Amino acid sequence: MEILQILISGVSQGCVYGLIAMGFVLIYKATEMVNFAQGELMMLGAYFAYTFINILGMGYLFGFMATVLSMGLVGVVLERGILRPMIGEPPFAVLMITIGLGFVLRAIAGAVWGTETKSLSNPFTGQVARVGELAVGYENLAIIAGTTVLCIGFYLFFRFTRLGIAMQAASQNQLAAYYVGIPVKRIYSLVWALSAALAAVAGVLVAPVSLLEPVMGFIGIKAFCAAIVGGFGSLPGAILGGLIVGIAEQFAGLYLPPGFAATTAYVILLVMLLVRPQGLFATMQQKKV
Amino acid sequence: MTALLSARNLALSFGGVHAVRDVSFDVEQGEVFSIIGPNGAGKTSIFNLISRLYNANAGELLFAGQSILQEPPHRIAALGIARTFQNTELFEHETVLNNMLIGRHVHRRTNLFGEMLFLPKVRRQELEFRRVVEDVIDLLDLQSYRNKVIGSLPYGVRKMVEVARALCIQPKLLLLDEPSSGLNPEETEDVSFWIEDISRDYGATIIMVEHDMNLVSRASDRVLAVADGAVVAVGTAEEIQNHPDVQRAYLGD
Repeated sequence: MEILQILISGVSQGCVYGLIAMGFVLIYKATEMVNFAQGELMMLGAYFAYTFINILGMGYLFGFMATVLSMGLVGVVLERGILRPMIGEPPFAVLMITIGLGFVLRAIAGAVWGTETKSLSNPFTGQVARVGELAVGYENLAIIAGTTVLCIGFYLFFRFTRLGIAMQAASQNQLAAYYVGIPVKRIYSLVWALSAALAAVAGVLVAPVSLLEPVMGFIGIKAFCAAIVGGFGSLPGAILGGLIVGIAEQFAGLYLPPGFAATTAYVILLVMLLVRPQGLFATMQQKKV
Repeated sequence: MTALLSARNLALSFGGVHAVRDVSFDVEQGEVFSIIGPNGAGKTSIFNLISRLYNANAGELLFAGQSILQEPPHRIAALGIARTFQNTELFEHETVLNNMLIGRHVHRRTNLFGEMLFLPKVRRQELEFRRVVEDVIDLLDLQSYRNKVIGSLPYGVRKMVEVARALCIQPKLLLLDEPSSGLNPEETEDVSFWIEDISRDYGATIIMVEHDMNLVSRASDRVLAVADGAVVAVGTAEEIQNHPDVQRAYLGD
């Protein structure tokens, strides 16, 4: 029973990694940029939710929606204002920009909301679902349920919708996409919007289990490991990678000496890079010249 | 009869290099119009101007009487212009069928939520798209490749798939950039047959850039010869081949 208990909290933690990892993958697939500020977008989303729900007193549900929409807007502004002028610059420069963006967002969050920890009021506090001996906090269930719904939504979106298919097309071949009528640049903005909104969802879901602080975005580094384990070009891979890292971390916390849990993500990453460098769902292929 | 496409004094330069200078021509509705010229003469530049990949420095470009020089590249398909590329630009990891279905993108008339729920309207639209695609597959004999991934196909077939995708747009004007490059003589001969079929069955006007003079003479109604970015002569393939200025452009004095 204890194992099941640990498994569930691992899955819930893994879902958070997976959601952030999906944000990495979305942007990477569409624009071939790695956005190292993905974790900070999650942090910003959590603070937006705090502002809407705790400070402005909107209900949890409305606050959640307002957060997702406004973070989508933040994504568009970042793409238009910072990343689009970088088109054609070396990938390394773009990488540095996103790392810098992470620092800036942390500083802004600290300046606006203060560096002391805060907690987001939410409808789950203290409520626990019991099945036999098993006890699972509502906030963990919300994370798992939210992630599941998002995954199904994303699957349908990319499989069936005009916009979802256009996003895939734009990420595979820009020139070809233009000439079947896809506005590639606008699609890039939307990808950033989607990615930031996804990070916001992760932020709101994780806020009840971990406190709000400007450095909470560092979780993005573990999510980055999860994305690589999953194959860095694959959305299902990102979720699976997240789950593996999340579950392994919880078990390491139980069975290994203290301190090891924090290193689990990196150990898995190293092992993965040695054994199967292309990740679980290999989608990255060498480009033909 | 008004021209489907008319270029008026088009000019394009890259720094000090004049890739296209003062080029004017008219392409009539329904004709097959070829652009020929030595390497570096500006053929592909003219193509890229029409498909809005490059911005003209001067001149005017009218499609069905409307200026298109301000249109962004992604609007070209919706206007009814489709193009292929010399070295093919396909969605490499997708099947032939998916590559063709995305050609229907500009014709998709359903909304996001209907699509996610796959409502009956969306289903009807998909079936209609599939019919358009199957007609093109029949026309170009791609039946056996329908579910093959592009990356696994030989070059000649890929070039056909790109033409097929362009046809799925159901364009009024089809731009073919060197349709025979990289093909063997037998495949090149097929090109002239399917150009004829496309022109007849789809009523599409075709402009092609081509090096193979056999193909040009067999397939085209009129030919435009360019050299050093400027027009040398326009006429039937025979007139062009015997034109003293054209011979001079190719062979030198």
